[in-house]
Amino acid sequence: MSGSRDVQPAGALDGVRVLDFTWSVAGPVLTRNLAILGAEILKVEWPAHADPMRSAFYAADATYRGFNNGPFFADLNVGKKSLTVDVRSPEGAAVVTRLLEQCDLVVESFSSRVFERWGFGYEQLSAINPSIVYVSISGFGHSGPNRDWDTWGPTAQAYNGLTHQSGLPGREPAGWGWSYMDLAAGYTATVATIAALLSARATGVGQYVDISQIESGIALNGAAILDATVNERAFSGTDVPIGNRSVVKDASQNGGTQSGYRGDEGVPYGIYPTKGGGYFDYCAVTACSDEQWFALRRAMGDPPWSARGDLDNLSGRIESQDEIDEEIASWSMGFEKYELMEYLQGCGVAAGAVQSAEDKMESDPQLFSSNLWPYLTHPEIGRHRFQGVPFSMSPSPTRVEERWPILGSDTASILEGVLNMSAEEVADLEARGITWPAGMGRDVDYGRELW
Amino acid sequence: MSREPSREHGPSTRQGALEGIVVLELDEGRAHLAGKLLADLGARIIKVEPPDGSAPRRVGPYHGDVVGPDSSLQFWHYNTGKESVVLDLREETDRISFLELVGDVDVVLDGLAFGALDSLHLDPAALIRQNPDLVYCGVTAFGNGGPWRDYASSDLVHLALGGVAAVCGYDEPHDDGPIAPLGGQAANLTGLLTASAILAALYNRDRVGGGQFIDVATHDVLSLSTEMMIPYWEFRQMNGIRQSGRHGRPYLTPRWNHRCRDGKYINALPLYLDNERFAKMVDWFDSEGLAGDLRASEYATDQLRAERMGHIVDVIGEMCAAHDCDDMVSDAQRRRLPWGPINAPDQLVDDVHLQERHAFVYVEHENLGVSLTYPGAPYVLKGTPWSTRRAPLLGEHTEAVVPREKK
Repeated sequence: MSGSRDVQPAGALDGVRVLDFTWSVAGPVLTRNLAILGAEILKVEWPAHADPMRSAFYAADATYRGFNNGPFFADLNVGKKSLTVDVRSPEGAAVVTRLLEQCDLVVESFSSRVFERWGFGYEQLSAINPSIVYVSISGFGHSGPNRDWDTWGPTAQAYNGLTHQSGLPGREPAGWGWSYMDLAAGYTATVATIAALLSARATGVGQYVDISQIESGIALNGAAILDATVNERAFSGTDVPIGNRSVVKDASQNGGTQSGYRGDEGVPYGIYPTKGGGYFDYCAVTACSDEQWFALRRAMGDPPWSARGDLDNLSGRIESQDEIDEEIASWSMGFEKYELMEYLQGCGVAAGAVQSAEDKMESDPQLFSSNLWPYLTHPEIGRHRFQGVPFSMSPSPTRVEERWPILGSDTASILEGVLNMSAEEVADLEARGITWPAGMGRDVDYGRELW
Repeated sequence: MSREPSREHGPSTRQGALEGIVVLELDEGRAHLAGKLLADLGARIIKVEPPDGSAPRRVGPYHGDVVGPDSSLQFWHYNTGKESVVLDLREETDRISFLELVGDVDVVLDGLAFGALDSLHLDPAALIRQNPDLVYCGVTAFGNGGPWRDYASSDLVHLALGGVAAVCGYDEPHDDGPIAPLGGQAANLTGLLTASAILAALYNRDRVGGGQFIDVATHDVLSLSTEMMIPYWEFRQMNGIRQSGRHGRPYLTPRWNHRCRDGKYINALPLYLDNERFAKMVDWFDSEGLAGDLRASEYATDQLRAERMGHIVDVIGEMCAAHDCDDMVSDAQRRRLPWGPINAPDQLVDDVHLQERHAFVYVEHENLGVSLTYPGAPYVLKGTPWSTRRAPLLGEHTEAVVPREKK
């Protein structure tokens, strides 16, 4: 640790060195978060089967489809370094063992038991470095009857109940339109990982953290779980799922209500069509209190249908929710989505335009002011906006560092800088196919995208 | 339920990872997950609530459907392991008590609306004057600046603005507009990153000393949580479209969800069907005469299969329709096809795998004379215990934390 304070303050996790064997999305989300917080991430791959996300997709004007110019990979792995080594060779394993001595954390997202087979189960890891934290992220976790089953984000969110809850009554579950559990498991893993690092720092003893992508979603659905276990309410029947609503009449349960477990409740609570009628021309409008309902009524010009006394309280509005939604949907068509949002917010009503990625990047004034997509210059794909940092800290900065894991490009500097190898030793390892496959070029042209 | 949920997490001689950390929490639904995560890992969370309780106590569902400040299941889940102290921060004496507490804690987790503490003369600067090593974390809807900072919000408003709703719903031609997923995910994602930021700040304090000012905004969090959607726009000028239950794409892909014989849906991912997996799948379907024409040479390579994936998926759908969902899933997984059941929440607690991993735990409600089944640890820290206990009743710990003579 340096004794003097840098002019540019260091990130909160400055000095934390991570050996990162993760691939695909959930694991790299974790190490991206750690990089944002200042940790040094050494992403380990073997070029013969590099992280498949490297070829997830390419820019419209890409002239080749290589290891390093896939934009999704670059976005997900910004700020990390790349180390290539054949872990399955004895010499490669020896390099990894020496690196483990110099790391605070090792992370992997292989199928259960793969890392153990390579000789890096937690017992071996702690023998090498007692203070090391070992984090595994897998679909089902490293124990239990389904431990060898495979999942991807969408199958994980199907298994853990999140998909089932979303959609329209009587229709198939709509779930999510992307791999939510890749993000959410990566975020959950970030909490566990930093907690384990804190504990290791205090006690000098590391530990094994076993993260299941499926389980990490259960705590994100807790009220629904309790409704099932405590109230014995099955989330089934023709009135569920409940679309965009927060609460509905529960026809099957004696005049009770079915919650959407959103953490807030109100009527109206919906996404309504707006002028233009395009694919993204919608605006969310919610009234989570009687006060907001009255504000909305006034904003709509107190139309006669809204003046009924039974609509003055939530239970009456739940009873008439279909009718209220129809009325608002015909009124909302008179406004552009941002126009409606601004008008209603001015009247004290919670409203928000449905935003596409384009809307967020080109139209959202709030995100523009928070600089959420900084321009960075990537050596192969040029100057572009990359996803930035979701929170700010002071005095320890959070930032996306302008570097990417160009495959193998940091191997020599890591071996020399961290392991004090000589340039000759490093060249020898490469010549013998330990740090780069013999006879393989430094880049490939995959020819096509992953999917 | 007869199982024994304990997950090596019961009373233990080892201390929780966050033993000794004390957090003062103020919440209206945006910060309480962060507090719960820290509490269950061993931190002490003192939740300061107004006399009528924090807002999530007034959100359903309720225990036995009986409305009351101590019966919200929403509150129960997100407030396990915490203490509840009632202070009326509009009153001078209670403000003084609050500031005294601030002097003794490691973290203030402030989930009140933008500007709320300032208006009580309890702004972050005042708190840090009280405790220079304090980690102050403010969690708001839109942040501390920008044109929308005073805007009203809700879960749905955040899911709309953050880009989540736009890409969730049904495929064309059955699209019925954006359908934002349930479960309170705007606050959930916010809570996960809030807890991460606080822990990083504590790590930094251990390392070099000193407190931290953290600013988390739900709108920023959601806007950065749609995976490939932002890169697709930046690099391809294409927007993601609504496709039920599968990878996010800006173009229509074959469906993954199929209705099984028992009415339950399966998520049958048709990607990564390499030669070996495809051959095993076809042999399996064929053993029941349901392989259709998939043995034909038009399906012999990855490239050819990609061109005809729509038809392959139709054949998968017919096979699913002839079997019960859970059987279909285990038969598929045996062949390394990564398919999964679309479980309802109430089906999870009986899942054998999750039971064996103790993914659910009993939590004692001694005041009600019952033990109830809760979600267990979202992660297994093998070396430090995770444990939980019921959420506090409103003001349950006021006397113990702020004795009357002091108030």
